[in-house]
Amino acid sequence: MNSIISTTGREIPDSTQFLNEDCSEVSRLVFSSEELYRMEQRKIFDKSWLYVGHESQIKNPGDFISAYMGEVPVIVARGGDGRIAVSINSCPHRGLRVCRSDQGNTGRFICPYHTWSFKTTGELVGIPQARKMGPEVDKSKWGLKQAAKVETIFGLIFATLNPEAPSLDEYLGDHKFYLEAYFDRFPGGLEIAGPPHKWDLKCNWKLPVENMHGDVGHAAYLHGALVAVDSPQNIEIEDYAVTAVAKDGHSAVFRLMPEDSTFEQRGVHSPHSSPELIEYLTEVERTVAERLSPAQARIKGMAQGIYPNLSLLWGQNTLRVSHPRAPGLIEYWSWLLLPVDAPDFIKEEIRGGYCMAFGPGGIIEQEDSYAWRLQFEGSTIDYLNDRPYFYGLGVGEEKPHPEIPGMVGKCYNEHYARRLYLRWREDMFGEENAR
Amino acid sequence: MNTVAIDFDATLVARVEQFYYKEARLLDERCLQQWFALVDESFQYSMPTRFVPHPDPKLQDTEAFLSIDRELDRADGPKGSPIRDDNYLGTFARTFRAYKTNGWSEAPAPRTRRMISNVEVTALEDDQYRTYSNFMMFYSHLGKDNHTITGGRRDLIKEVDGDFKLLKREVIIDMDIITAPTLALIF
Repeated sequence: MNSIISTTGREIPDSTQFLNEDCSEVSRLVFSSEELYRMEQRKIFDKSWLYVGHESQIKNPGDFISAYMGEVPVIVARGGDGRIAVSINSCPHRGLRVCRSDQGNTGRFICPYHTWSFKTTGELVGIPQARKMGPEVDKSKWGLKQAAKVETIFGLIFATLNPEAPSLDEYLGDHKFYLEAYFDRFPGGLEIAGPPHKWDLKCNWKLPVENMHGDVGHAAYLHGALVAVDSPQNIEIEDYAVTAVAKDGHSAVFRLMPEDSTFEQRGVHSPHSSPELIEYLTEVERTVAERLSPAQARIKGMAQGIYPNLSLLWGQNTLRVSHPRAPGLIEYWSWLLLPVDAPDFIKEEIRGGYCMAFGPGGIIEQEDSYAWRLQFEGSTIDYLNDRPYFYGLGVGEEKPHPEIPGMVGKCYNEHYARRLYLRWREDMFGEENAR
Repeated sequence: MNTVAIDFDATLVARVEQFYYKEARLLDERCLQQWFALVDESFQYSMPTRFVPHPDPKLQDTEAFLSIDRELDRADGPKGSPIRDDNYLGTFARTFRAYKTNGWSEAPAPRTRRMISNVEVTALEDDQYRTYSNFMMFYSHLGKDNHTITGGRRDLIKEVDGDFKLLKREVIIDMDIITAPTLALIF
């Protein structure tokens, strides 16, 4: 199988060596091949809508944050007119990053090499040497290149490098229902607190994504020292958890609580919650009907993901992006989300729960990152390239649901991952090669 | 030889250093529960997130321009998102989870070695002391996954029955993007 792969950088012709027809078998090379990784940058990261930040991080004109679109560094900034601009962070003169800070407010970015200066939204303002040297430079031609399109939904800012990309609305499709169930749940909305946590993990970028797309199967097992298989939380998960794929590539995993469940049962995620947090979350659920449909109101979320690399952990209030750096290396960014209108002490408790369990200091996350790293090591064993990974749990069990969009599978059904790799195959090899 | 008169209690500093060496040894020898006995019930363990702020031109030509505090995101009421913000109970959870066959990321356990240095001690009221110290931790796991993690610590300790107890520890980590696999460790 390995011999088919080009070492010259040319495109790999077809997908049959990597995935079987229904993606219930996934080759180890999907995670470890250098050629596939380079192809992913062109066919996925240069084409898709990518999450670059949250509106709460750039509220005022001149506010900016640094971000990445795949491997491409970008600046996400609020212009004087309130418009959000996403500029590629590389000087048109010699290529240096014109912004080398993570966040702030400024009128100008200045490239250190020859001090070309740019507005926060990317327009070239000054070339100090040009005043002393002709001919005149047409500054309008030499600004920072912009992302092809920028759109927002529920405060989430997405951008794409692809001028042919469909609208964000079309890109998300019916998955919007699940985004809305979380982002419209809190009466005052959600905002990002603090800068992101960033750390390198020696794993393929798709594995954390796949994990948060719906991998209920690892939860009480990999994290068994913290969440027991026979704990009330896990019993609730096994009773009610489903994964829903409303559009290939995106996915949501949640408990669809029974109609007679109480607001407290729907709202409270951690058994360690204080009485005050229980009261706050219960109150949120009590008013949810004003903002969401009855089916959305019964959703007690666990996680979801937007293709290709955005993930949300619902009960832990964290958004994360898996930035590709090499087949076996990601730069993982993780943000804390807080309900805007919650009292301060509630925000503090939510934050404490997040950083105890997640982020680089989290006791749950250290187990995930450990597993992801070991998966990459296993994926590099050439001798096993004729033994693809098994993704076949629950094949055929998923079906449409009368109340919620997409194909819905029970708890441990791995269709959320099969549909992710189906989308990956379409993007990488095209429709005609999808079989 | 010139001598400089400074307010320096060598015995006190030596005792605090001995406390820190013992603490580091207990942690390196994976005696986390014995280490936990050195912690006061009011314990707060925090690690601000380190980030790169935009230079503030208004602060140019002053030390504030390069102030470390501008790079630290702490828990500040409802604001901020530190990497660690543990209380006594959270610390307890961290010290007990490793002793299980299914505490997977610690079974088999990583090897650690902590070097503690640059200890400064200032006496406060009520038998309490403010200390500054540096650490360098060598972290080795899964064969040859080796990392060096460095940082500073700002502690509040209290003298109890001739020994010390930890009341507060703030860890200032030196990395921006963390290249070690986890910071769910006690520094």
